[in-house]
Amino acid sequence: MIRIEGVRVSFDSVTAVSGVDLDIDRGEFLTIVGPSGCGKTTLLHAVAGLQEPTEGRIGIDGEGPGRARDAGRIGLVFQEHTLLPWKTALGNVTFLRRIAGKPPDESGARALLESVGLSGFLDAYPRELSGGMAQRVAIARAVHLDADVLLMDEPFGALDEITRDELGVELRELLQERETTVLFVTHSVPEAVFLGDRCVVLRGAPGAVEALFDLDFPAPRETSLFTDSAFQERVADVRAALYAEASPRR
Amino acid sequence: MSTARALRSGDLLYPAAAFAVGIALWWLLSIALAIPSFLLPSPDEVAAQLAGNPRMYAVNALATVEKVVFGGAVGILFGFGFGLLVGTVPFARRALYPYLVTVRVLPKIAIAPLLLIYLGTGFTTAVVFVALVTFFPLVVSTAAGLARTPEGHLDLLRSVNAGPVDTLLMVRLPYALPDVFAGLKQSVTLAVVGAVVAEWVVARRGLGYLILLGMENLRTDIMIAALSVLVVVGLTFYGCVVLCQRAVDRRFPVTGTDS
Repeated sequence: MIRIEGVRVSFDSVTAVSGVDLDIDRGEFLTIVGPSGCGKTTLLHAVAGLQEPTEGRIGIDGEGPGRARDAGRIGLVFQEHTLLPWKTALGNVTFLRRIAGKPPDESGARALLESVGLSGFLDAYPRELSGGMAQRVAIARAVHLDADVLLMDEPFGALDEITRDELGVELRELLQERETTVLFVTHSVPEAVFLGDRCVVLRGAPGAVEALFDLDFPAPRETSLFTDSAFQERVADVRAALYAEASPRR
Repeated sequence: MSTARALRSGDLLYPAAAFAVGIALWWLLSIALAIPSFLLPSPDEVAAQLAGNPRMYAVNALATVEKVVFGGAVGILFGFGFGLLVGTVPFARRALYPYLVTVRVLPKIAIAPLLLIYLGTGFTTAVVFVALVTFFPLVVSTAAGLARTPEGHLDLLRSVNAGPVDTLLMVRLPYALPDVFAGLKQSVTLAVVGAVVAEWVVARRGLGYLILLGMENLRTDIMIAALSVLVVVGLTFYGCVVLCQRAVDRRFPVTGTDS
């Protein structure tokens, strides 16, 4: 599990997040929603070991993020697909695993790409893929790492809404049989509620946890959930927390 | 995205037509205005000069090519190596980059007399001079290219604890290739310029020397003939770089994509 304790991250003159406490269970899908500039990305970077917290600590099964990173336990997905333009879809998926020093598993990579509907595009270059397809490759690349912590920073942020919804369903499906812990940052409240086992609202400058919601909708998550009244209530709750008058901080 | 696209007939036809018109105008001008041939020889006189002394032009062209090749090789090797250093070692970048940019405003030609004092009037001076003029554009463009890797890629590599060599070879260098080639194109062009300037100052052979010799004897036909050979030499070197770039671009198509 991931334990975030009293984490503050400050840059030269700006504090991005402050006083963040979160426990994330193994295999849990946690969505983080909040306005721009509330430090969501910074928090994610801290968990990835790309950014040292100024204060507090982060433990991944009791180890520091740096150790987890060195062990290849961390997978990243960004809003930009960050695929290498000179490698095919398959090449992009296997490349990162190789760099991470893990034994190659090309058939695994193929199967993964096929399971996200790209069986006809294994040898396609990124320029030949649509935005949604490229992002599927990026997700496959992260999953193929066999990382047990997946950190996703607005991965669907550049996609149209329909593609977003499809990818959300696929992502949950893909991770169903894996014990992957996911931290998923998004700007979209419905997306956060649809995908998450829990949803945390991050707000303020510096960003801090405003509210935490349990989202116990049954699996698998299908698009029909969007019209469910319980779902819409949850969305309204999260929105309320997001837009509520600034509450006095502890 | 690819630089290689099929040549259409017009791609060759129009420039060829413009060339023919240019030569015809030159001809007409030299006949109609009765310009004395020691001032402006007609194209056929220049052609006759070239055809009549193939050995002289070949030997001198070779002498120029030699300076370009040796000087260029040294300059490109050091330029690329230095570019890698400046582009990958933050400390080196911070310390040296301002000077590399500053040196660009210095006309390298002005250094020639200094080299003359230090190295004498031999082949070495010419090679060092050519190396010097090819060095700078490549350092700057290589370093700039290495800074062009999208930040997300670097985060991704750091997240799997990629080593500096992997990071450089697998990601940063391929992303830098378009800049490296832009620098190389500048470098080879300048290498030919450098060789000619060196020949004006130190050499006893070469196309630059031939031009100088033609001037001293008011032989404009020799000068123009040497100039046309020089154009061919310059284009050949430039063409080599373009061919290299096409081959590399097929392997690492960087342009026209992504974040």
